Amino acid sequence: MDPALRAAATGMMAQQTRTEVIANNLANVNTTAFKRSRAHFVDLLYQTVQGPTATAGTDANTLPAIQIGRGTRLAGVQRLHSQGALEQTDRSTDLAIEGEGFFQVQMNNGQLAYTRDGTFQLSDQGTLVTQEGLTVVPGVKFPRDVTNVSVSRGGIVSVVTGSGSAPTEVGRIELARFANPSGLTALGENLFQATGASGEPVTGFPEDDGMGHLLQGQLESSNVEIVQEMVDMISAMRAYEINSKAIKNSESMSEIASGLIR
Amino acid sequence: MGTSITPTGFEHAAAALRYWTRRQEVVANNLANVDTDGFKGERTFAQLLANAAGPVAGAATDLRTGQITTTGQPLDVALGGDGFLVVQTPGGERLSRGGSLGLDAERNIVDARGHLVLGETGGALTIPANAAKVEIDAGGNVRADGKSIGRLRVDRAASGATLTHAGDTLFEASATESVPAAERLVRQGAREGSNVNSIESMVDMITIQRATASVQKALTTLDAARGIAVSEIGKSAS
Repeated sequence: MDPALRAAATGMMAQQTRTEVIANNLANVNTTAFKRSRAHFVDLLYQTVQGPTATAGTDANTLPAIQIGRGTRLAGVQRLHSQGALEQTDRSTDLAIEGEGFFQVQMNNGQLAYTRDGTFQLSDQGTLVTQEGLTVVPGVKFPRDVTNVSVSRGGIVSVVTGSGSAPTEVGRIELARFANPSGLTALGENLFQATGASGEPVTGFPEDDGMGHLLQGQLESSNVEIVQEMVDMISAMRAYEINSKAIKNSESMSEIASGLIR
Repeated sequence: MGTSITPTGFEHAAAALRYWTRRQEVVANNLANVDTDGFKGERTFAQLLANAAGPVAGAATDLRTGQITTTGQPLDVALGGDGFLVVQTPGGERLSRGGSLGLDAERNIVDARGHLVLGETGGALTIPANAAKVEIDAGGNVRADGKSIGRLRVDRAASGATLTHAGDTLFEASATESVPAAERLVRQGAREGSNVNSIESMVDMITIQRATASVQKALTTLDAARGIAVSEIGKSAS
């Protein structure tokens, strides 16, 4: 089969994958603390044609070798952990991180997961949990008659109880950060898991070097920018189209070649 | 009488068709890689060789830098100038323009396909387990939490050496030389896109299309002329 046809077909497939990733980004434009992804590609193996072979006879030239590529393929989908915009919610247990840290939560299987989604609430046990009911680590225990919760930029949680008026400290939120956050595996439900590629989590308090600080009553919104995704989508569409033109061109060249025989 | 039984006009036209087909194959691959990070397009040109009938395709890699986009990702690396990172593949050392690097399970810096990125001492660059911040400066020095862990090897094809594509957006050079520190221009948090210009390729495809059609016309005309020669001249002689 014509290599040009096949190369152009891989190009079309690549653009399709790219569009799928863009579609998922756009679907999550309102997902709290969602991080957009990007597909990246590498080229396929090359075939050397012509090569340094003699054409004919004793006084023949050698033809210059040229490399014909076979198209492209998906190398991976990279998640881009840039800061999302902050949105005011005024819920006292909504927390946003401005910086590189992650909240640590304990999953049902006992392992730790990491999230940037600070939509927390109090469980019936008086602990701080995520929307799905997973406990925030290290645990923060609230007294029964809490009337007011405040969380400082440094993560210190203090409460005012029904009887008193002076706030008392009940715990401090810790964050974790990674050398290569793109290496984290997404588990769905805004959770991430550490892998060898992300590096070991380094824990610390908010406002420690690079961790970022906490903002109470705010949530981090998705870092998807609609305009950026739209531009990417148009460019994917155009690239898809131009690859289809390459197929058409190769096809009509075959037609010309076969038309030589009358 | 002629020395060849193959009519020369046909041979030239066939060579021209072969040339335009090669050119189309190269354009198709360039276009398929219009979004491949660090991809370098091929350019084809026609050559006239002393003993070959018609044009012969030659190709050269277009080494212009692709568009550099800032991503802010700590392990996205782009290179200005003509340098390449060196990666270790099962087939030997290959050159790479960087892109989205990552860490493997042992926290060695690897490229998008998992090949080790080599440091100047020859080995891999390993980020310590508890490091939280990786910094790479313009000279290619890699620091984890402020502590130096090595320097990226940045090579370029030596003058006169040939640079060939090795797949996975890697290149192989027949000879390399180290790029001096001042000319390295390693950029952290950025990646280089493909250097394929789709408009140029589109124009190229139109040219290829038209040229192929013209060569076909020439061939058909030549064939018709020979047809007349065979049937008509034969007739008048009898």
